[in-house]
Amino acid sequence: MMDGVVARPDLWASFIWPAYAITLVGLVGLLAWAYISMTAAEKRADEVKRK
Amino acid sequence: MHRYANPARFLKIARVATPIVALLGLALTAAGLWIGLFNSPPDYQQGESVRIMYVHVPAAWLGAGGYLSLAIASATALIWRHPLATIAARAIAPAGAAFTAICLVSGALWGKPTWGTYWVWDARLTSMLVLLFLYLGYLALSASEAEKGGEGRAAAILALVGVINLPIIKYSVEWWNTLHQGSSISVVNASSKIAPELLTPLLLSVAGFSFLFAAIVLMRMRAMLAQQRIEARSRRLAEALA
Repeated sequence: MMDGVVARPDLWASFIWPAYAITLVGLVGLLAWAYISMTAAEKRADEVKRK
Repeated sequence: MHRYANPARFLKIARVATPIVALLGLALTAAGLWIGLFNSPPDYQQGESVRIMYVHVPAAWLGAGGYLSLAIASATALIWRHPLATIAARAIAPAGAAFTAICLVSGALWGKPTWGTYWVWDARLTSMLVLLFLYLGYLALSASEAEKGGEGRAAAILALVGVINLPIIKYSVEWWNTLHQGSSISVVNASSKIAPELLTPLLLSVAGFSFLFAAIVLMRMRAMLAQQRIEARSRRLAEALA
């Protein structure tokens, strides 16, 4: 079912795939940035505390 | 509320809540987008392009809702000087700006097949663009104040002034003749003009995006609190060595 939908030209012509791709890249990027910055800062805070 | 303004107590709760909120967000977003893409019917007027609604509408709601929470956090910081309020505001701003940008881009991509153009200087589109500029202004001002060791009062005042844009966004489709359609869902009357087959994936996406927004804010707040602990420790070490 999924392959059929992905290949359908009307979904490309309606800009559905570009809209979903941009949204998902934005969401995943934002989540990854928040997670990496949090783990890096908390790790550094623990190191500084132990010094 | 004052009880939870204690950073240590907040961190204890946030450490437990962050993975739960993030996983709920991922699961609900995946379910909403999957049903929206593969299991919901096309619209009788717009055809397939209605599927952009499942990313555009949640992003728009969180862009505007995020700004309201930014303003509430800023007001709390200005009035009660809660230690977490400024941190919460600074954590909300980048997420809100990103969701507003997603709303504008997905809206432009929805506009092309529906209206025949990516952009018009329509009241709803223009007020959403102003919202993005307000977020960017807040981010620039709070970063500049944080660099100088300020409390973020000027940024908080900018956030409060910008609230005037929220009713303009909401009522722009009623006050002016716009290309953008009117609202299809009313939270106040708990009513909807959307068919249940389209409403279910939309509500799932809205819930999923909301949990993801909350997870991003929690993670950013934890990062900023850790940064504060590092700076405080470094200051104490420098004072002890002096």
